[in-house]
Amino acid sequence: MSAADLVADGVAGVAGHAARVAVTGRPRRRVSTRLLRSELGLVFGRRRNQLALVVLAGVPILIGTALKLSGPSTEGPAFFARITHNGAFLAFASLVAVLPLFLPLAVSVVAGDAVSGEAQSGTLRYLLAVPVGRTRLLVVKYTAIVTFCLASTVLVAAVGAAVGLLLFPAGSTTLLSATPVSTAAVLGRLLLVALYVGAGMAAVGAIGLLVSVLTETPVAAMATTAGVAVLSEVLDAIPQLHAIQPYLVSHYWLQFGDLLRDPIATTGLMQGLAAAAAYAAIFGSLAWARFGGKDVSG
Amino acid sequence: MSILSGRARWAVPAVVTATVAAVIGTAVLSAEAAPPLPVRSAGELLVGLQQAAGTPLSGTVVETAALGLPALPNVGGHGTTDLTSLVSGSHTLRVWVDGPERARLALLGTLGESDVIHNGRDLWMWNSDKNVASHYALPAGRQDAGSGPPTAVLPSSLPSALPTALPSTPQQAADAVLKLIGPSTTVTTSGTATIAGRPAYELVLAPKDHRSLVGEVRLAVDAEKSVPLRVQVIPRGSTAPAFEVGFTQISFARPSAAQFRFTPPPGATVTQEQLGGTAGTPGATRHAAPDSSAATDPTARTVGSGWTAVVIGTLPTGTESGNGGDTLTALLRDLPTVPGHPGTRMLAGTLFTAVIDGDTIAVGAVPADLALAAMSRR
Repeated sequence: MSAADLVADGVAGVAGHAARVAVTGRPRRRVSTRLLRSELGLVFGRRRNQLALVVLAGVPILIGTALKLSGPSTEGPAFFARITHNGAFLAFASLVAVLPLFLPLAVSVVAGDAVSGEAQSGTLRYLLAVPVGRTRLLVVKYTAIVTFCLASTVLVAAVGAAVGLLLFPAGSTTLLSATPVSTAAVLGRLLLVALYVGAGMAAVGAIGLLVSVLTETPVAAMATTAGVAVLSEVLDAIPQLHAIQPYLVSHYWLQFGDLLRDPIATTGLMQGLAAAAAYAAIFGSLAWARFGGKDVSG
Repeated sequence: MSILSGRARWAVPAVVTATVAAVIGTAVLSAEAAPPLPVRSAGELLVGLQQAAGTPLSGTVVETAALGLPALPNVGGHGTTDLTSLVSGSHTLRVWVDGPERARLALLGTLGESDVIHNGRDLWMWNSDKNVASHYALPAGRQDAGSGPPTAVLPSSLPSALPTALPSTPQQAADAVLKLIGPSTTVTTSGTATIAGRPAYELVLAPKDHRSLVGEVRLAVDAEKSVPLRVQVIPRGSTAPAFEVGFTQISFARPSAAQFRFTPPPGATVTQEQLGGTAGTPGATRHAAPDSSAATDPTARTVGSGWTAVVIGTLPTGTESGNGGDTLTALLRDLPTVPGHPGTRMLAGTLFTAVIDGDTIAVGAVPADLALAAMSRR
């Protein structure tokens, strides 16, 4: 996708914002959903974001096909041995596969672009000219980022479950605690896992939003956000740093395994959700403070 | 367009950050609170502890070991489901107990778990990473429920190569410590503590023999239920515990019976094991004493007594299935030798010293000279 395309995308989006808001005059509640829908259209309509989603959806297809061709094995990463007994576990294995890099990268691209993309293409000025407060604009931006986070995890989970159940039997299976469960129950847990991982990604999205407000170069914002996420994972893997690890953004991502125990072990999950909320609050408010006082020239 | 402008806007993220820090700080500090409780003597607490064995409960336990050991290959910290990994790092376990005959322990790893399920005469060990379930048939008519509380039959009684006899629940740790109470120990009470949100008394057990590496053992006992909530072992000359196992969350509601039922999942490798003997030696079944790993080794002897006892045993040959034989070999190769004792290698931790000569090992909570002396008397 060329730079010209990007600019065209941005202009079209902002023109949409401005036109819709202008028609209804003073902003009301309905206007805010319009602004959000327009922003969602922008995020999900952008070709590079669509490509990211396609790559994410390709992971379960790749793993499933490879496993089908190589036959059942007890070796491999987490959940691999279970897939051949119940295909739904392909979804969990896929989430584990995309969690370290693909998922944070996709979220970084969307979040890093949120404000800096508009600034670089010069559309931020027009966007701020419409009678919508900067606070609301930022809330709409972050809501779109969170939506993308949840959509990407649910997409991987859904494709994983669908491909898994297509290629492998839906036989009786067990959770990590060796408790037998039905496929329907596994799918229920899968949805919870997708939402939990999505919440973890929303924390990365908040970091991305702040970086995006700080710079007018979207590529820099994307790279910084992805770098922060990967750095957090590296620090989390160094045993000597265990004192700071509970405060790292990536520390609780793999805690989703607790949703596959019987009964669900809530302690770690609650810590993970609280950490994600804290990241969203701190970085969201920092972005708000910077954005509100920012001179927009671009 | 905004109520706040300029620098004033930055007060908002400052307040948000401060609030988050305050919430974290409160959570840390509230664990330290010492609740006011009516005075109880050490003797009363000890009687209560013995009567509370088998109290139905469920909860989450965090175990932390900083034994000063060298970094062991393949003996991971948090996240592994290998029960032998309990010797280093921090681990989270879930515990369910319902009377002396039913208990379940789950070591939570990242995306996996290891379970030990005791239900009547059946004892199952389950590892979700390896997809292996091992069944142990416990001897009939065990009448040691009074002396050996239920969790005492959990992992430490099982055959294993590495020093895995580290207690994994506060109950196990308390049992091990209470065995040492006798003329060699000073028992005192030391105020109160809040563990897992419950008020508790603290018992302090200190060895009278100052040669022991153990400075004191602090045992927190639930004020209402008399269940051990936390055990800390503090090395001599230190204030920070080298070993700690305690509840972070506990409930005294009777766990559901389903929690103690175990059926090997389809596709899992199921093995039948003999309790107290090496797997695959039929006809030579030895019944182990419930919680002494030394008793699983017929050649083990004890030199000395009480807190300075040194156990002398034979190392496993390193061929035992999946019990870390390779780890052990690799570890031994890297240990420093002892000056003046050719061929003798030593592993010195904060709480114990191990001296290895050939395939003989002497382990005790004693300084190196005592361990070497015990070794020379074998």
